Amino acid sequence: MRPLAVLPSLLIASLALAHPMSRDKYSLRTAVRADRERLEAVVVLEVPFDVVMADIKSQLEAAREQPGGRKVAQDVVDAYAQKQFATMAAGLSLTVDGAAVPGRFQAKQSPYNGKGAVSEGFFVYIVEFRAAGEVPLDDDITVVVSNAAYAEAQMVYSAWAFPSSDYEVVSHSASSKLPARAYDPVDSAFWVDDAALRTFEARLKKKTP
Amino acid sequence: MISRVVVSCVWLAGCAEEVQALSPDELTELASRHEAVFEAFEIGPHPDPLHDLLASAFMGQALTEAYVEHYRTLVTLADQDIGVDVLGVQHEVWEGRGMTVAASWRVRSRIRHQSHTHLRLARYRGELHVVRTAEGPRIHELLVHNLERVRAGLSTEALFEGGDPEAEGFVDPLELLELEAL
Repeated sequence: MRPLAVLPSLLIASLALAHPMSRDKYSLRTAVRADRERLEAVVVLEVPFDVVMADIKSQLEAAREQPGGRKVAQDVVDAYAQKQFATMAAGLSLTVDGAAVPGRFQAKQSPYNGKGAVSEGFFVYIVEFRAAGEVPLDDDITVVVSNAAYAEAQMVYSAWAFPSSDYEVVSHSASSKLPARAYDPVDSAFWVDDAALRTFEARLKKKTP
Repeated sequence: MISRVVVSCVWLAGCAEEVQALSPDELTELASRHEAVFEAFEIGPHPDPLHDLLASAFMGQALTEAYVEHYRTLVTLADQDIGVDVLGVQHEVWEGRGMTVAASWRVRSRIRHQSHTHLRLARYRGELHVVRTAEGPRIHELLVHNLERVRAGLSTEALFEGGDPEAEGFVDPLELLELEAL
Protein backbone atom coordinates (compact mmCIF):
# COMPACT_ATOMS: atom_id res chain seq x y z
CA MET A 1 0.00 0.00 0.00
CA ARG A 2 1.29 3.44 -0.81
CA PRO A 3 0.21 6.75 0.62
CA LEU A 4 -1.67 9.26 -1.46
CA ALA A 5 1.29 11.55 -1.17
CA VAL A 6 2.60 9.81 -4.26
CA LEU A 7 -0.55 10.58 -6.20
CA PRO A 8 1.04 12.83 -8.84
CA SER A 9 3.75 10.26 -9.42
CA LEU A 10 1.12 7.59 -9.77
CA LEU A 11 -0.73 9.68 -12.28
CA ILE A 12 2.38 10.14 -14.34
CA ALA A 13 3.23 6.48 -14.05
CA SER A 14 -0.21 5.66 -15.38
CA LEU A 15 0.41 7.91 -18.34
CA ALA A 16 3.55 6.08 -19.22
CA LEU A 17 1.90 2.69 -19.42
CA ALA A 18 1.79 1.57 -22.99
CA HIS A 19 -1.16 0.21 -24.88
CA PRO A 20 -0.70 -3.47 -25.60
CA MET A 21 -0.42 -2.56 -29.23
CA SER A 22 1.43 0.20 -30.94
CA ARG A 23 -0.69 3.30 -31.20
CA ASP A 24 -0.08 3.64 -34.90
CA LYS A 25 -1.26 0.19 -35.91
CA TYR A 26 -4.77 -1.05 -36.44
CA SER A 27 -5.81 -4.03 -34.41
CA LEU A 28 -8.25 -6.74 -35.28
CA ARG A 29 -9.95 -9.08 -32.88
CA THR A 30 -12.21 -12.01 -33.74
CA ALA A 31 -14.48 -13.71 -31.24
CA VAL A 32 -16.67 -16.77 -31.73
CA ARG A 33 -19.29 -18.28 -29.47
CA ALA A 34 -22.22 -20.62 -30.06
CA ASP A 35 -25.20 -21.76 -28.11
CA ARG A 36 -28.30 -23.65 -29.05
CA GLU A 37 -29.98 -20.44 -30.14
CA ARG A 38 -27.37 -18.99 -32.39
CA LEU A 39 -23.83 -18.70 -33.60
CA GLU A 40 -22.05 -15.48 -32.70
CA ALA A 41 -19.11 -14.29 -34.73
CA VAL A 42 -17.93 -10.81 -33.84
CA VAL A 43 -15.04 -8.87 -35.32
CA VAL A 44 -13.61 -5.70 -33.80
CA LEU A 45 -11.42 -3.31 -35.70
CA GLU A 46 -9.52 -0.76 -33.62
CA VAL A 47 -8.36 2.30 -35.50
CA PRO A 48 -5.92 4.74 -33.87
CA PHE A 49 -7.38 8.11 -32.88
CA ASP A 50 -4.80 9.85 -35.03
CA VAL A 51 -5.82 7.92 -38.14
CA VAL A 52 -9.50 8.68 -37.66
CA MET A 53 -8.91 12.31 -36.85
CA ALA A 54 -6.61 12.71 -39.87
CA ASP A 55 -9.44 11.33 -41.98
CA ILE A 56 -12.28 13.47 -40.66
CA LYS A 57 -11.04 16.24 -38.41
CA SER A 58 -11.21 18.93 -41.09
CA GLN A 59 -14.71 17.79 -42.05
CA LEU A 60 -15.78 17.90 -38.42
CA GLU A 61 -14.40 21.36 -37.91
CA ALA A 62 -16.08 22.62 -41.07
CA ALA A 63 -19.35 20.96 -40.08
CA ARG A 64 -19.32 22.59 -36.67
CA GLU A 65 -19.17 26.02 -38.33
CA GLN A 66 -22.46 25.40 -40.09
CA PRO A 67 -25.92 26.09 -38.64
CA GLY A 68 -26.91 23.12 -36.52
CA GLY A 69 -23.22 22.33 -36.51
CA ARG A 70 -23.14 19.58 -33.94
CA LYS A 71 -25.79 17.58 -35.76
CA VAL A 72 -23.97 18.02 -39.06
CA ALA A 73 -20.70 17.00 -37.40
CA GLN A 74 -22.34 13.95 -35.87
CA ASP A 75 -23.53 12.99 -39.35
CA VAL A 76 -19.90 13.10 -40.48
CA VAL A 77 -18.94 10.78 -37.62
CA ASP A 78 -21.79 8.40 -38.37
CA ALA A 79 -21.00 8.29 -42.09
CA TYR A 80 -17.37 7.52 -41.31
CA ALA A 81 -18.39 4.67 -39.02
CA GLN A 82 -20.73 3.27 -41.66
CA LYS A 83 -17.87 3.31 -44.14
CA GLN A 84 -15.72 1.32 -41.72
CA PHE A 85 -18.50 -1.20 -41.13
CA ALA A 86 -19.06 -1.62 -44.86
CA THR A 87 -15.36 -2.11 -45.56
CA MET A 88 -15.05 -4.67 -42.80
CA ALA A 89 -18.20 -6.51 -43.82
CA ALA A 90 -17.11 -6.69 -47.45
CA GLY A 91 -13.92 -8.46 -46.46
CA LEU A 92 -15.38 -10.95 -44.00
CA SER A 93 -16.75 -14.42 -44.58
CA LEU A 94 -18.06 -17.15 -42.34
CA THR A 95 -18.31 -20.87 -42.84
CA VAL A 96 -19.56 -23.68 -40.64
CA ASP A 97 -18.16 -27.10 -41.43
CA GLY A 98 -16.86 -25.77 -44.72
CA ALA A 99 -20.15 -24.37 -45.95
CA ALA A 100 -20.86 -20.66 -46.29
CA VAL A 101 -23.64 -19.61 -43.98
CA PRO A 102 -26.37 -17.50 -45.61
CA GLY A 103 -26.22 -14.04 -44.15
CA ARG A 104 -23.75 -11.20 -43.82
CA PHE A 105 -21.66 -9.20 -41.43
CA GLN A 106 -23.24 -5.97 -40.24
CA ALA A 107 -22.56 -3.31 -37.64
CA LYS A 108 -23.21 -4.73 -34.20
CA GLN A 109 -25.79 -2.97 -32.09
CA SER A 110 -23.41 -2.01 -29.33
CA PRO A 111 -23.11 1.17 -27.29
CA TYR A 112 -19.36 0.98 -27.87
CA ASN A 113 -19.54 0.97 -31.64
CA GLY A 114 -17.70 3.87 -33.25
CA LYS A 115 -16.38 5.04 -29.90
CA GLY A 116 -12.88 4.94 -28.51
CA ALA A 117 -11.43 4.44 -25.08
CA VAL A 118 -9.92 7.72 -24.05
CA SER A 119 -7.30 5.82 -22.13
CA GLU A 120 -6.23 3.80 -25.12
CA GLY A 121 -6.39 5.96 -28.20
CA PHE A 122 -8.42 3.73 -30.50
CA PHE A 123 -11.90 3.88 -31.95
CA VAL A 124 -13.59 0.52 -32.15
CA TYR A 125 -15.74 -0.62 -35.06
CA ILE A 126 -17.63 -3.82 -34.39
CA VAL A 127 -19.42 -6.05 -36.84
CA GLU A 128 -21.20 -9.31 -36.24
CA PHE A 129 -22.54 -12.02 -38.46
CA ARG A 130 -26.26 -12.01 -38.96
CA ALA A 131 -27.62 -15.17 -40.47
CA ALA A 132 -30.32 -14.93 -43.12
CA GLY A 133 -32.31 -17.54 -41.25
CA GLU A 134 -31.97 -20.22 -38.68
CA VAL A 135 -28.55 -21.84 -38.64
CA PRO A 136 -28.84 -25.48 -37.66
CA LEU A 137 -25.77 -26.42 -35.68
CA ASP A 138 -24.52 -29.94 -35.29
CA ASP A 139 -23.13 -31.23 -32.07
CA ASP A 140 -19.59 -30.81 -33.35
CA ILE A 141 -18.94 -27.80 -35.56
CA THR A 142 -15.97 -26.04 -37.08
CA VAL A 143 -16.42 -22.31 -37.56
CA VAL A 144 -14.09 -20.29 -39.76
CA VAL A 145 -14.06 -16.50 -39.91
CA SER A 146 -11.85 -15.01 -42.62
CA ASN A 147 -11.00 -11.38 -43.04
CA ALA A 148 -9.55 -9.83 -46.18
CA ALA A 149 -10.38 -6.21 -45.35
CA TYR A 150 -7.74 -3.57 -44.74
CA ALA A 151 -5.12 -5.80 -46.30
CA GLU A 152 -2.78 -2.83 -46.67
CA ALA A 153 -3.00 -1.70 -43.05
CA GLN A 154 -0.38 -2.62 -40.48
CA MET A 155 -2.22 -4.65 -37.89
CA VAL A 156 -1.89 -6.69 -34.78
CA TYR A 157 -4.28 -9.56 -34.28
CA SER A 158 -6.09 -11.43 -31.58
CA ALA A 159 -8.79 -14.07 -31.64
CA TRP A 160 -10.52 -16.39 -29.26
CA ALA A 161 -13.38 -18.85 -29.07
CA PHE A 162 -15.57 -18.74 -25.98
CA PRO A 163 -17.57 -21.54 -24.41
CA SER A 164 -21.26 -21.14 -23.68
CA SER A 165 -23.73 -23.09 -21.61
CA ASP A 166 -24.29 -25.32 -24.63
CA TYR A 167 -20.97 -25.59 -26.42
CA GLU A 168 -17.43 -26.10 -25.25
CA VAL A 169 -14.35 -25.12 -27.18
CA VAL A 170 -12.39 -28.12 -28.40
CA SER A 171 -9.68 -26.16 -30.17
CA HIS A 172 -9.04 -22.99 -32.08
CA SER A 173 -6.34 -21.70 -34.37
CA ALA A 174 -5.19 -18.89 -32.06
CA SER A 175 -4.27 -21.24 -29.25
CA SER A 176 -0.84 -21.96 -30.70
CA LYS A 177 -0.08 -18.25 -31.04
CA LEU A 178 -1.52 -16.84 -27.83
CA PRO A 179 -0.94 -17.69 -24.16
CA ALA A 180 -2.58 -20.78 -22.70
CA ARG A 181 -4.50 -18.92 -20.01
CA ALA A 182 -7.76 -17.08 -19.69
CA TYR A 183 -8.21 -14.65 -22.54
CA ASP A 184 -7.27 -11.12 -21.62
CA PRO A 185 -7.25 -8.51 -24.38
CA VAL A 186 -5.57 -6.06 -22.01
CA ASP A 187 -2.51 -8.28 -21.93
CA SER A 188 -0.19 -7.55 -24.84
CA ALA A 189 0.72 -11.22 -24.99
CA PHE A 190 -2.71 -11.83 -26.48
CA TRP A 191 -1.88 -9.71 -29.51
CA VAL A 192 0.44 -10.88 -32.24
CA ASP A 193 1.78 -9.49 -35.45
CA ASP A 194 0.79 -12.59 -37.35
CA ALA A 195 -1.53 -12.20 -40.32
CA ALA A 196 -2.43 -15.87 -40.10
CA LEU A 197 -5.00 -14.77 -37.54
CA ARG A 198 -6.89 -12.99 -40.29
CA THR A 199 -8.40 -16.44 -40.61
CA PHE A 200 -9.68 -17.88 -37.38
CA GLU A 201 -10.88 -21.43 -37.04
CA ALA A 202 -12.64 -22.80 -33.98
CA ARG A 203 -14.01 -26.24 -33.26
CA LEU A 204 -16.93 -26.27 -30.86
CA LYS A 205 -18.63 -29.28 -29.41
CA LYS A 206 -22.00 -29.52 -27.79
CA LYS A 207 -21.77 -30.25 -24.10
CA THR A 208 -23.10 -33.52 -22.90
CA PRO A 209 -25.89 -33.10 -20.36
CA MET B 1 -3.64 -8.98 40.38
CA ILE B 2 -4.95 -10.30 37.12
CA SER B 3 -8.47 -9.28 38.01
CA ARG B 4 -7.28 -5.75 38.84
CA VAL B 5 -5.63 -5.47 35.42
CA VAL B 6 -8.80 -6.64 33.69
CA VAL B 7 -10.90 -4.23 35.68
CA SER B 8 -8.51 -1.40 34.82
CA CYS B 9 -8.72 -2.21 31.13
CA VAL B 10 -12.48 -2.30 31.20
CA TRP B 11 -12.57 1.01 33.05
CA LEU B 12 -10.16 2.60 30.57
CA ALA B 13 -12.14 1.32 27.62
CA GLY B 14 -15.28 2.72 29.12
CA CYS B 15 -13.64 6.13 29.54
CA ALA B 16 -12.32 6.24 25.96
CA GLU B 17 -14.27 8.78 23.94
CA GLU B 18 -16.32 7.16 21.25
CA VAL B 19 -15.51 8.73 17.91
CA GLN B 20 -18.57 9.51 15.91
CA ALA B 21 -18.49 8.24 12.35
CA LEU B 22 -18.18 10.69 9.48
CA SER B 23 -21.52 12.25 8.67
CA PRO B 24 -22.92 12.47 5.12
CA ASP B 25 -22.11 16.20 5.10
CA GLU B 26 -18.54 15.52 6.15
CA LEU B 27 -18.21 12.84 3.46
CA THR B 28 -19.45 15.30 0.85
CA GLU B 29 -17.08 17.98 2.05
CA LEU B 30 -14.19 15.58 2.05
CA ALA B 31 -14.98 14.44 -1.49
CA SER B 32 -14.92 18.05 -2.60
CA ARG B 33 -11.59 18.66 -0.86
CA HIS B 34 -10.13 15.51 -2.35
CA GLU B 35 -11.23 16.51 -5.83
CA ALA B 36 -9.67 19.94 -5.34
CA VAL B 37 -6.26 18.35 -4.79
CA PHE B 38 -6.06 17.79 -8.52
CA GLU B 39 -6.04 21.55 -9.05
CA ALA B 40 -2.36 21.25 -8.14
CA PHE B 41 -1.71 20.69 -11.84
CA GLU B 42 -3.12 24.15 -12.56
CA ILE B 43 -1.04 25.78 -9.87
CA GLY B 44 2.27 24.34 -10.95
CA PRO B 45 5.44 24.38 -8.85
CA HIS B 46 4.58 27.46 -6.80
CA PRO B 47 5.21 26.63 -3.15
CA ASP B 48 2.77 28.79 -1.23
CA PRO B 49 -0.37 28.34 -3.34
CA LEU B 50 0.40 24.63 -3.62
CA HIS B 51 0.75 24.26 0.12
CA ASP B 52 -2.46 26.20 0.74
CA LEU B 53 -4.33 23.95 -1.67
CA LEU B 54 -3.03 20.74 -0.15
CA ALA B 55 -3.64 22.00 3.38
CA SER B 56 -7.33 22.20 2.56
CA ALA B 57 -7.36 18.42 2.22
CA PHE B 58 -4.41 17.02 4.18
CA MET B 59 -2.90 17.57 7.58
CA GLY B 60 0.11 16.52 9.62
CA GLN B 61 2.64 14.15 8.14
CA ALA B 62 0.31 13.42 5.22
CA LEU B 63 0.35 17.11 4.30
CA THR B 64 4.14 17.21 4.41
CA GLU B 65 4.43 14.12 2.24
CA ALA B 66 1.76 15.32 -0.17
CA TYR B 67 3.46 18.66 -0.53
CA VAL B 68 6.90 17.18 -1.18
CA GLU B 69 5.62 14.68 -3.72
CA HIS B 70 3.36 17.13 -5.52
CA TYR B 71 6.01 19.80 -5.67
CA ARG B 72 8.65 17.37 -6.93
CA THR B 73 6.28 16.09 -9.60
CA LEU B 74 5.23 19.55 -10.72
CA VAL B 75 8.86 20.60 -11.05
CA THR B 76 9.56 17.51 -13.15
CA LEU B 77 6.59 18.24 -15.39
CA ALA B 78 7.72 21.82 -15.84
CA ASP B 79 11.29 20.75 -16.61
CA GLN B 80 10.08 18.33 -19.25
CA ASP B 81 7.58 20.82 -20.62
CA ILE B 82 4.67 18.48 -19.99
CA GLY B 83 1.27 19.95 -19.21
CA VAL B 84 -1.44 18.03 -17.41
CA ASP B 85 -5.01 19.28 -17.61
CA VAL B 86 -7.28 17.37 -15.28
CA LEU B 87 -10.59 17.28 -17.12
CA GLY B 88 -12.59 15.56 -14.46
CA VAL B 89 -12.45 13.64 -11.21
CA GLN B 90 -15.24 11.21 -10.55
CA HIS B 91 -15.72 9.42 -7.26
CA GLU B 92 -17.14 6.01 -7.99
CA VAL B 93 -17.08 4.69 -4.44
CA TRP B 94 -17.03 6.99 -1.44
CA GLU B 95 -18.14 5.08 1.62
CA GLY B 96 -17.63 6.19 5.18
CA ARG B 97 -16.58 3.51 7.66
CA GLY B 98 -16.10 5.24 10.96
CA MET B 99 -13.36 7.76 10.34
CA THR B 100 -12.17 5.99 7.22
CA VAL B 101 -13.42 6.41 3.67
CA ALA B 102 -13.22 3.50 1.28
CA ALA B 103 -12.96 5.06 -2.14
CA SER B 104 -12.34 4.62 -5.79
CA TRP B 105 -12.07 7.48 -8.20
CA ARG B 106 -11.33 8.17 -11.83
CA VAL B 107 -9.23 10.95 -13.19
CA ARG B 108 -9.64 12.04 -16.77
CA SER B 109 -6.75 14.12 -17.95
CA ARG B 110 -5.22 15.61 -21.02
CA ILE B 111 -1.47 15.35 -21.31
CA ARG B 112 0.27 17.99 -23.39
CA HIS B 113 3.72 17.14 -24.63
CA GLN B 114 5.65 19.44 -26.92
CA SER B 115 4.72 17.55 -30.04
CA HIS B 116 1.38 16.02 -29.21
CA THR B 117 -1.53 15.78 -26.84
CA HIS B 118 -3.27 12.70 -25.58
CA LEU B 119 -6.03 11.87 -23.18
CA ARG B 120 -5.82 9.49 -20.30
CA LEU B 121 -8.30 7.96 -17.94
CA ALA B 122 -7.01 6.32 -14.78
CA ARG B 123 -8.79 4.68 -11.88
CA TYR B 124 -7.55 4.63 -8.32
CA ARG B 125 -8.75 2.63 -5.36
CA GLY B 126 -7.76 3.22 -1.79
CA GLU B 127 -8.78 4.43 1.62
CA LEU B 128 -8.60 7.74 3.39
CA HIS B 129 -8.06 8.00 7.11
CA VAL B 130 -9.67 11.17 8.34
CA VAL B 131 -9.51 13.41 11.37
CA ARG B 132 -11.81 16.24 12.36
CA THR B 133 -10.30 19.69 12.70
CA ALA B 134 -11.78 23.10 13.44
CA GLU B 135 -11.63 23.74 9.67
CA GLY B 136 -13.41 20.53 8.78
CA PRO B 137 -12.33 16.98 7.99
CA ARG B 138 -8.79 16.42 6.81
CA ILE B 139 -6.95 13.41 5.44
CA HIS B 140 -4.16 12.34 7.73
CA GLU B 141 -3.37 9.24 5.74
CA LEU B 142 -4.41 8.10 2.32
CA LEU B 143 -3.46 4.69 1.05
CA VAL B 144 -3.67 3.89 -2.64
CA HIS B 145 -4.22 0.18 -3.05
CA ASN B 146 -4.51 0.06 -6.77
CA LEU B 147 -4.02 2.11 -9.86
CA GLU B 148 -5.14 1.07 -13.28
CA ARG B 149 -5.87 2.56 -16.57
CA VAL B 150 -9.53 2.20 -17.17
CA ARG B 151 -10.29 -0.72 -19.41
CA ALA B 152 -7.80 -1.18 -22.15
CA GLY B 153 -10.09 -1.16 -25.13
CA LEU B 154 -13.13 -3.34 -25.23
CA SER B 155 -13.50 -6.26 -22.84
CA THR B 156 -14.96 -9.54 -23.98
CA GLU B 157 -17.89 -9.03 -21.63
CA ALA B 158 -18.63 -5.63 -23.12
CA LEU B 159 -18.23 -7.07 -26.59
CA PHE B 160 -20.87 -9.74 -26.08
CA GLU B 161 -23.05 -8.31 -23.34
CA GLY B 162 -22.74 -4.54 -23.66
CA GLY B 163 -21.98 -2.06 -20.93
CA ASP B 164 -21.63 1.62 -20.21
CA PRO B 165 -19.13 3.14 -22.64
CA GLU B 166 -19.43 6.61 -21.17
CA ALA B 167 -18.53 5.40 -17.71
CA GLU B 168 -15.57 3.55 -19.17
CA GLY B 169 -14.21 6.63 -20.84
CA PHE B 170 -15.30 5.93 -24.41
CA VAL B 171 -15.93 8.87 -26.70
CA ASP B 172 -16.73 9.24 -30.37
CA PRO B 173 -14.56 11.35 -32.70
CA LEU B 174 -16.72 14.43 -32.24
CA GLU B 175 -16.54 14.19 -28.46
CA LEU B 176 -12.81 13.69 -28.75
CA LEU B 177 -12.50 16.86 -30.77
CA GLU B 178 -14.52 18.74 -28.18
CA LEU B 179 -12.42 17.33 -25.36
CA GLU B 180 -9.21 18.36 -27.06
CA ALA B 181 -10.58 21.84 -27.58
CA LEU B 182 -11.28 22.34 -23.90
